[in-house]
Amino acid sequence: MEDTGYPGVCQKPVAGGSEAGPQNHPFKFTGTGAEFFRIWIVNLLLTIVTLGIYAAWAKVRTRRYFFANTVLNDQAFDYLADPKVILRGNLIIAGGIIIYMVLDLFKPAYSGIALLLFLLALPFLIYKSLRFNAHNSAYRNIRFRFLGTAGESYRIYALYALLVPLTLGLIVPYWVYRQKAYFFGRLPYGDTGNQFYGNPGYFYTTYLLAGGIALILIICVFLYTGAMTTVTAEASSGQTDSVPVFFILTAFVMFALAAIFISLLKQFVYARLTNHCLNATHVGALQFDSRLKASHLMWIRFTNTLAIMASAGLLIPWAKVRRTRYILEHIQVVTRGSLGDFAAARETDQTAVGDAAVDFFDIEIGL
Amino acid sequence: MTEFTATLFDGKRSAAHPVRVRQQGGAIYVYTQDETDPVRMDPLANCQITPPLGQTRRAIYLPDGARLETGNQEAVAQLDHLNRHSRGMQWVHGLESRWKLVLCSLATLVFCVWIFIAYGIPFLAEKAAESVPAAVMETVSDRALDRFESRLLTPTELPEAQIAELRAHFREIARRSGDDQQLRLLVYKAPQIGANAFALPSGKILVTDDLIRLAENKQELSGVFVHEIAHVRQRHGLRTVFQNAGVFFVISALVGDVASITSTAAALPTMLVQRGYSREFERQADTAAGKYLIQNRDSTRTYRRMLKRLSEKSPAGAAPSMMATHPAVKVRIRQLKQLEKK
Repeated sequence: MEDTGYPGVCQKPVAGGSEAGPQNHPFKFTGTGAEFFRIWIVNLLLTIVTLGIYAAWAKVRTRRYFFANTVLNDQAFDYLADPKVILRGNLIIAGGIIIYMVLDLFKPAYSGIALLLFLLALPFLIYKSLRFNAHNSAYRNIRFRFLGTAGESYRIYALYALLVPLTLGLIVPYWVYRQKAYFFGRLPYGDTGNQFYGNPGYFYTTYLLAGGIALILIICVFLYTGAMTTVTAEASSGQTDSVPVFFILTAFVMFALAAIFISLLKQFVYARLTNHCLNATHVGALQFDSRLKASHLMWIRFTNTLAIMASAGLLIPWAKVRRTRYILEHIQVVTRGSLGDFAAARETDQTAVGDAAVDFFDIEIGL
Repeated sequence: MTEFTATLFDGKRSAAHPVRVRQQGGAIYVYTQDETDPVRMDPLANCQITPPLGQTRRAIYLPDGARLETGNQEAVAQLDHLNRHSRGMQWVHGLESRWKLVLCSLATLVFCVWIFIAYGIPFLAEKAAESVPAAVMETVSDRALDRFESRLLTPTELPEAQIAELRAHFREIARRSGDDQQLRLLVYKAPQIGANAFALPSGKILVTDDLIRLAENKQELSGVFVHEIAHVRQRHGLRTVFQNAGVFFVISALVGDVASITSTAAALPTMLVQRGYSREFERQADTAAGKYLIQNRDSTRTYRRMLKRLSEKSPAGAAPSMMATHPAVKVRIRQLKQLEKK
């Protein structure tokens, strides 16, 4: 029993059961593809007719939809960002891109400098973006926070990024580990700090396995196309017309296969690293139990891609809901006490410039 | 007066408090379970109500940041009505909740994107291209030429007399098809490019030795020259740059939200639209060439012959027509024939 601050009301543990033993709270996702489809279409229409201004509102609406349908212990998450702040960020980013395009056309010498300036600003934008999104994410009316520093962001996204080519990519798993540690390491819920016990070795194993699978797949593709080339060349000998068509088809098939393999491998890496990172993150006495299966995620990605292509994009919302539901429903929170026992902290507001920049250039960060 | 049950989160701790909420006059009263005296009272005008969104639970943010959450949509709709905040978003929600309106939105969206791509972007790109000063076009073109020269172009191997004759022929065409201001003919040997001609925005027109050899006489090159001159006059080069940038912005606005799945898929429609623009400019340049030839010699036959020979020389016919930068030679020849009938 806890003091609620409201006379006459004593809060009981919501999920029931004894407070001593650990309790599992699975995430639930209550959104549906049909409902999100309607929101998505209206978002697109209003974004186009307002020449992109509405994009900020569309983004907040989309995020809110996914947050508000993410339910943990009967309570939903909330996304609180102000669309006007995101609009300001969008305008700055769009202005930057236009300046870059104009410079590239008319004064190419300066466009290089502009690109360099952008790359120099990028770690700062990532840092700002993480802060903005954490601060605007809330559960039970308690906001998350991000306490990573800009300096650490520069160390990871500038210094380690430079080391990647110098070490012939050997540092990549460690680099990704540092990115995850940056994100998961200082992401308190309210005033409850968190720890990240991730293990760089696990990242190396994951990437080694992914590399091994990639190698096997590449060999298979070579054997297959080699066989096909011989067969088709024999079949079409004498018909010179079909040769260019055949090469174009082969190139197309190779490209499509490579794209599919890469996206499936990404699912493998995503499943392993998400499980590892979540299970290695402790928020006070709260822990996660993440059991994503690479094979399931691969199947979802593969069928989603087919569905999106077959529907000319109309099934994008359905695909997004489907994948989100799978991921959330394979993660649960393990607590010893009540989820109603966390306290808030105070923090100043963040600007959304970083948020927009990271979205516009599609840099995958965090989850 | 409205009354409904809700869950209160005070914003200081994460505990959920089941409460009853009553709106009366301009105020919101919060009661705990069976109590008859409210634990708090807030003016409705100072409360923020989250806009409706699908079937998600609505939240009312009280002035101190406390959050009242409820699944009672009708009750909150009544508060919306009194509070008068976020009117716009309620209208958006109205659109989103009705399938009929959503399907209308989809149709409007497709229509808007089509209008924008077919007319909006080309119009804006034309205006933008017109506003670019000549000096800027000069530097842009020279840079492109430098890049070409260093990689693909070597000095021509044709006899000087032939080049001089072609220059005179070119000058004559430029004069007859309007003012000849900055137009200049440059001839290069470019084995990697083959038989081809290019126009730079500044008015320099590049022709390869192979193309000149392909022509049986200088008259057969007239159509090619007018075609390239049309590219210069109508500023097709700059317009292409601006149009492609426009398509990039439109498509990224459409798919930006779900980039992870669709960024590779978005590359295809972007390319198709850009190739469509390219074919349209080629068609316009062919029209200009055809009109000039009809006015000056009453026939497009020489140009058609040249196009046919070009297509035989470089069998690019394997690419599907939607992907090609130029319309199919058959189509171009048919178009020229039709010009003649008019």
